[in-house]
Amino acid sequence: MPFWIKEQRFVGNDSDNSLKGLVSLTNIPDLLQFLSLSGKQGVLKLHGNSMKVDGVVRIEDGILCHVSTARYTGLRALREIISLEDGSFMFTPGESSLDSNLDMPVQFAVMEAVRLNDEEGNGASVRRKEPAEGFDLFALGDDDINWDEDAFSLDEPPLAPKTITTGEASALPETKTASTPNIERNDTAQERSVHMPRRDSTEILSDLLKVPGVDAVVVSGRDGFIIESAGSSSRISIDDLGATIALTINGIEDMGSELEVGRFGDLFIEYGKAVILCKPIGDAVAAIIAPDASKLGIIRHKSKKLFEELTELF
Amino acid sequence: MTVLRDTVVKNLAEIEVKGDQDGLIPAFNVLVNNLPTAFWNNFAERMVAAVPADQRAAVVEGLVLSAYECGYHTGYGIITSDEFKSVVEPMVTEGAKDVLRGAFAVFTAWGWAKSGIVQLKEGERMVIRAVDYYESDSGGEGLRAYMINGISKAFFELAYASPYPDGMNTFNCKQTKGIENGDSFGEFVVEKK
Amino acid sequence: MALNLNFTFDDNTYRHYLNGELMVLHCHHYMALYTKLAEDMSDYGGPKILKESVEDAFLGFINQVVSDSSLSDPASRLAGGAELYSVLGLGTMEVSGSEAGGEVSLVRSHVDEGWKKKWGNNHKFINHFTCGYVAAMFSAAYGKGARTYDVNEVASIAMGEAKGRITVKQK
Repeated sequence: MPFWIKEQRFVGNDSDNSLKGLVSLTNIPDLLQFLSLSGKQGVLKLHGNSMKVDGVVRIEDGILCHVSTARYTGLRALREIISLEDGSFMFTPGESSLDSNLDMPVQFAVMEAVRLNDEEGNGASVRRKEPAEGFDLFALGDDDINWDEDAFSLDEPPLAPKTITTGEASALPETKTASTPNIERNDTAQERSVHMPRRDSTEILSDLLKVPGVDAVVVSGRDGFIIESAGSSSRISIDDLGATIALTINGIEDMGSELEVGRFGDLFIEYGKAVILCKPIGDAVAAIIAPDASKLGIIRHKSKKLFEELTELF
Repeated sequence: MTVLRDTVVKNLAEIEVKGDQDGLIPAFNVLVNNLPTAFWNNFAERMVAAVPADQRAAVVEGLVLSAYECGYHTGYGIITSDEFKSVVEPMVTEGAKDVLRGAFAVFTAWGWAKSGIVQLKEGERMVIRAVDYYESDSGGEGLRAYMINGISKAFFELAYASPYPDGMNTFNCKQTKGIENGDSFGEFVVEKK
Repeated sequence: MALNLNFTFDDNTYRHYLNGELMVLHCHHYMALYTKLAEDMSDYGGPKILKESVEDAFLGFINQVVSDSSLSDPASRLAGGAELYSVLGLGTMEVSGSEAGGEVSLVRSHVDEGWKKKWGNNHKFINHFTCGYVAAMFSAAYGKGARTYDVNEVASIAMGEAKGRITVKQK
């Protein structure tokens, strides 16, 4: 269980078995995957402050059955939800009468939503958010999070699309936009400023290794020259890996040329539970080795900015 | 398809170079020798240490120049050799860039330095990284991979300067990192003069 | 005589070894320019540094190769050293002598011929490399340490002679 989630601690009274927290201290894909992996069934309600987005998600046995926001339903709504960077959430376990508008495993749905957002470049980058040292979200009292219970009703889908004019964010009910958490935080301190000097590849690879689920990272030239590697790659021959990556990517690029579909974007290779994710970074290729393929969605999310940084170097 | 360095290395690495009946090794339009790296390192280290501080730059320049001329002439011999034509050329699809990749694969296979291209802006700039090289075994102070420095410049000129033998002294190469200096790899930046 | 030569390749570092010694291929341009650098730095002992660098690098190596080849008597060890010279692409030498010293005739020479290819005939001796090698070769043959022998060129292919000649004398 991620350290920032301590289930049942954030309870106002014995009857409240919901899980609540701040979006700014985690991210939605992490949260969804946690709920899925821990076999939870129930409804997750979300409220985004700056994006003025509210959403509802129903999860049953690792399947996303319902996702809706004010403007969208289904996968499109999920794409909007995973872009939230602030606000609050509340998960209430139990059955729900929410209609099904989606039927996808959480991992797959998240990955697909990330992919679609990436393709459209609509800013779905979910930042890695680490709580400040010593900070424990769930040690806070109910009053610390200004959760507006009245904003949602589990009995009927909230913010039904028919009541909202597409694209009119200002049409969102004021009760939700007013529910700004009163906890001070410093997001900018957690993010790399665009004005920061270019970091070297060793530093970026080191950050990639901090992404949960990443075992090793290798940067290889198109010819298979291992430019740099990091992580627990001692059990494999790094040169052989470089050669394999080069051979594979060359083959895939040849295929892309033959099919006239452009250069390759991402490549995922699954081996049992493990997965290798290959991504072009400039004239080189980065490969991430992850022993647990179920983390792929999160890895893609959290590594996106770092890959962009690497692209500037190669 | 591009040049696959593993293929090149595996084809060329297992060599047993020996002198002919005259005790010479004529190859790639030059006479080749096969000597202990300790000799090359000893001489460079002792020569640099022997001269006064104001002469050190001249000695270093001489050591780099030695490698540069070696790299330019032997490099040309290599990329026009039968070995290169049979092993590397079939994989060349990106012109000069692939020839350079092939040249550094050969450079690696023959034990000069386990090195390759990190960045390449064709005709303008190249960054080479070496993760293992015999010059890092030498004693002394500071960055001292004179040989890789000179060879990197030479190879880039063979690829992008005027055709051999008229392309010399078009680019500069600067070593920016070195295993011998405590870095985890050696790095060499070739740029236009 | 056949030397027992063991070429090995480390497929992790891509380094090449001969009888355990780390080796590298270079060309006559490199050798000629190193020699020229030593000459240019004569005021700071360049030729002597070159000679001694060779002697120090080769003494242990020649000892290793002749031992690996089971050559135990000095004459065969001396001949083994001369054969190794050819294996390494340095040329062909005929050697004679005893513990007190001897003479080497250079029939072919990588250093001299490489110099001539690059700059033509020279006006003075430049084969400091082979002098260092011969010093190491005699020391290896007779079980001596470095700097035991005075080795000097007295005829040079680089200066236009048909053969080079090097004299060896115990200090």
